Amino acid sequence: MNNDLYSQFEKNGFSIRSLVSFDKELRAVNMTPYDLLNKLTELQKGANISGIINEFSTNILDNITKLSEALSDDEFYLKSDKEKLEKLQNDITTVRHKFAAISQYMTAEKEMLEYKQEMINAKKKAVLLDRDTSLTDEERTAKALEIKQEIDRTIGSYQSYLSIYFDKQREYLNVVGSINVVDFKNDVLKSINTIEDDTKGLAITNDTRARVTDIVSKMRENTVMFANSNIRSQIDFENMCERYGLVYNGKSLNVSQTESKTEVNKQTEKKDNDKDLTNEEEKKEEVKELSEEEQKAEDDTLKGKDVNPDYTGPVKEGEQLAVVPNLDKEKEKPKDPIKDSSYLGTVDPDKQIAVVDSKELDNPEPEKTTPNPNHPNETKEPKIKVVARRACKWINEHKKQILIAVGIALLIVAVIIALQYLIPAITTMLETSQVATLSSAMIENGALWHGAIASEQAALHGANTALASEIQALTGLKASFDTTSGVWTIGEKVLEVYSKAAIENAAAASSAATAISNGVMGLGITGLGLTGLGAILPKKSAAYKNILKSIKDLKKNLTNMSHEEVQQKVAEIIAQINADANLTDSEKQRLTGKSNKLISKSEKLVDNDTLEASAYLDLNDEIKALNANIANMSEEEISEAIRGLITKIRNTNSLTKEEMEVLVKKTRKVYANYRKLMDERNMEQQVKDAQEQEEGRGR
Amino acid sequence: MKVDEIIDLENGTSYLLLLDSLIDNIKYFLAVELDDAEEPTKNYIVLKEIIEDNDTYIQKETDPIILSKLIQDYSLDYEEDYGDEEA
Repeated sequence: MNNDLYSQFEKNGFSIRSLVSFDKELRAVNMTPYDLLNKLTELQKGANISGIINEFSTNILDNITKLSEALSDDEFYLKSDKEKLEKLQNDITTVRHKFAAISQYMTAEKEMLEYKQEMINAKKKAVLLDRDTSLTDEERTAKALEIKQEIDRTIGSYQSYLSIYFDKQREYLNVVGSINVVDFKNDVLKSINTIEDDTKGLAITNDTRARVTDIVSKMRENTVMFANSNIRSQIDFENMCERYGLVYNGKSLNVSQTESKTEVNKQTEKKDNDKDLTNEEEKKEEVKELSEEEQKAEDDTLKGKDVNPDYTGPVKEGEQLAVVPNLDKEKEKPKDPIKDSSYLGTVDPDKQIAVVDSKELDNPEPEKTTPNPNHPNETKEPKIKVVARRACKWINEHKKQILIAVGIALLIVAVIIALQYLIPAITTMLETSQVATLSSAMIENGALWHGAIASEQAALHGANTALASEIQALTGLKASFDTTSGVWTIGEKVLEVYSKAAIENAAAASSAATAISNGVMGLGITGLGLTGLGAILPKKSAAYKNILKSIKDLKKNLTNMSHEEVQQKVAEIIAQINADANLTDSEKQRLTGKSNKLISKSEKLVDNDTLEASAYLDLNDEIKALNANIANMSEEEISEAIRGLITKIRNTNSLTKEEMEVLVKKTRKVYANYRKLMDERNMEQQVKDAQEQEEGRGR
Repeated sequence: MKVDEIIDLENGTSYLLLLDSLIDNIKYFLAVELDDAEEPTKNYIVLKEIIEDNDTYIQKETDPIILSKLIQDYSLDYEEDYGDEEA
């Protein structure tokens, strides 16, 4: 490594612990040391709260302003209940207070830079005056006096503003340095929820309500993104250092704003001094140092030297980031389509392997099978219009049960992975209940196996493979599946035995976990589970079970009752719920919700008729029929059929524009399916021909 | 939108809605994507329902906090609908 490169690593706080790892890993990914340094400094920026909190703060405060504007634009807003208006204003003020120190520092920094720029501009004028040979002595003297006054004035303004700036900076460093990202995130989310609740009681139009919902949702997303991005960057940064045999000698990641800068050494010393500036002398010394550096920067500017164009962070006077050449920006690998998948998780039929791939289990790389919802909004999820709704004709209870079981299993896996990133500190505490949940879900899936058709069995086994992978990742115990007996074994124990022990452990651990579950973890992860996990699911009272039975009985009878009868019966049940003193509030809420769903279900039975009569459904059925028949059709036939169908769709006046577009898309997809099928057939034929030729030569 | 319905989206994909849950007056659905023959695929997703100007939209829900809440709701629904011990 040459001296320049070494100094770049050293300047940025890295030393090489293992040259073998450093060299091997760089070669393995065909990366230069500069690329590595760029990646590490980028991660370090994200891992340091101060590197991202300014943007987050701006974002939240902007959204709060938008929220206030949206409400004040509403003609009915001020007619709302006075107390409710006051509460909302107080809650908005509370959020602003949370970000006050950050916001004030950012404003102070901006103003300080403006003062500084004025000073530099004045000094530039002096340099230019010295170089100007066109002036007479008198003209030069007059101009010089004028510029001197300007320089004195701007230096004075700048220096006097610096004390304000340093005060704000000290306050900012205190606030940011003490932030625990998870607590902070939870606190902000709580405030956002409070504001949202406040707005629910206001007299505003539906349009304003939609705007408010949108703004609140953005604030919530940004808050989760902020925390996730910080935690993920910390983990990635540490993993990357470990992998490339590096030791980071810088300060701990979440300490102060100044430590987020990539240039350390002498500047770090100076930065640390910022925190301890307690008297005017030190401040003056600082100003002097800065002035010298400004003069140098000014000279460089006049000489046409480049400054770092990537430098976007908060500025500390005289400070300049190390410019690490990014030689390989274009080499970014294409995104992994699976990682970028928008799904909770998938069951890959190709991975329905008899024994879980040990490599896969040793290095679970969970994102590959279950994209991490902890990074939900690196790009905002698009809102997609629903163009048609129809009743599902083929669903039956058993099939639905299987689909739900697989869906919940994948949801569990996805959320556990996400929460491991979110709250690493309590992951260990929760492992026992997670393992119990996972193993119980596996048992449930196994029970559904019998009576399921082949594709459903494949889906269930796929879900169990994902669950087993998570158990192995959590416990280190080997999970394997015996194809002959159809039995899963975890750490030498048969699944059922293992699960029973895990549930017992989980019950013991859950009380401890609950004690620290006031935040995110209190939202359900310790209490999740499927059938068979009664030990962990919240226990319901006898009164709850009694009313639940009435609801279930009504559900069974739904087809024999008119909608009005159902409404009447539901009203009676709800009255019974409200009158029952033995029910807890959450039980009442849940039972009322379940009862209301029956009305909705009864409505569905009514409006299914309307849905099924629509032209959209008829055309949709035609497309499905065509799709089912492609194997028996020639190219001309399929082309003809598709043209005919598209014309028919376009000529159906009762369809909306969106419905038309969707149906045309679906029809065109049939042709794509046909081409795919033909390609497969051609490929098979070619293989067959090649085999025959091979056999011919053999003879 | 209701459970047991198939929804067709503007982008040409279809989903079967399996379970629903209400959090803070927002409806969330556990859904499975359907293929061209309307058979369930391997892709599952949680969808948030958004109603605007009488039109219905969906948005993929990825917030782990919301998803955690939904797990508990969905698991209880499952337990109560298909479990043996409850009424």
